Amino acid sequence: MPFIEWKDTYNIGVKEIDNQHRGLFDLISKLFNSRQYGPDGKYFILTLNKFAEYAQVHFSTEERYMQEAHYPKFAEHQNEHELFIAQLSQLAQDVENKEADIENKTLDFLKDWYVAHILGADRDLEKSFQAKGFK
Amino acid sequence: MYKKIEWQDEYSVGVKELDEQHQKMLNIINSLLIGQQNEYDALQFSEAVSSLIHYAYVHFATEERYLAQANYPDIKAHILDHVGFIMKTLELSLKVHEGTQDNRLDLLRYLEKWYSLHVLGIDRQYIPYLAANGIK
Repeated sequence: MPFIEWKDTYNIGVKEIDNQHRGLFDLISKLFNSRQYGPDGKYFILTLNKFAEYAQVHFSTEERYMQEAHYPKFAEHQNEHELFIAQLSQLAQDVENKEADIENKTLDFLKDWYVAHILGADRDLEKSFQAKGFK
Repeated sequence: MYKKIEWQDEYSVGVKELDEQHQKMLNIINSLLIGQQNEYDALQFSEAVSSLIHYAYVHFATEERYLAQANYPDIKAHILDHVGFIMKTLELSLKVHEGTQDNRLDLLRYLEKWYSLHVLGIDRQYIPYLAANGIK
């Protein structure tokens, strides 16, 4: 199961956010690569922790822009971020506990999330941000 | 500016698979150095960085397997160095997305230094242990 291919059409037109979306994309790609390496899954855990840390940084940035743009669905969107962080921290714990098939489950989850959230919910930000002249 | 590190036979650690992997890592680092000078675009550069990290996962897993097989006494410290490399390179690779020349240069500087200190430095310490265990 490979991760998706990057396309420039995934950009929403605000540089700081697009760079971070691309960073998250790259970290998920690296998780797909690191899955089979390190007999104890060490590099998978390392990369997953880095991803979780970077997701937090990204959400703060994005929420700052949303507030500035008075984005009407701010609360809803912020909830999605919080839910994701909670799910991610549960998964990280399951990975540490070496639960059965957890690496594949984590990858499935991250891929679905990226497609639904970054390539889905975040597209809705585009209009609000453009109207504000964010670049 | 950066000079490519050319592979020398004396860099060998005496184990064919590890030597090939060390050379491959060097090739990727050199391609980044050359890419920097030839102005790779952001995508080409970040793809080369990704392939380096991907290959580092492969190489570290192989090397750690050999070190365990040889009961190498400093294996823990050695693995920590690998972990440090992955953490630092992931961090720097995220900054590369911000696209400035400085971010690329920070990464290149780190890689060049790491290769000299790690592959051409502390990796040499395990040579006698692997040799004593007949690992070639």
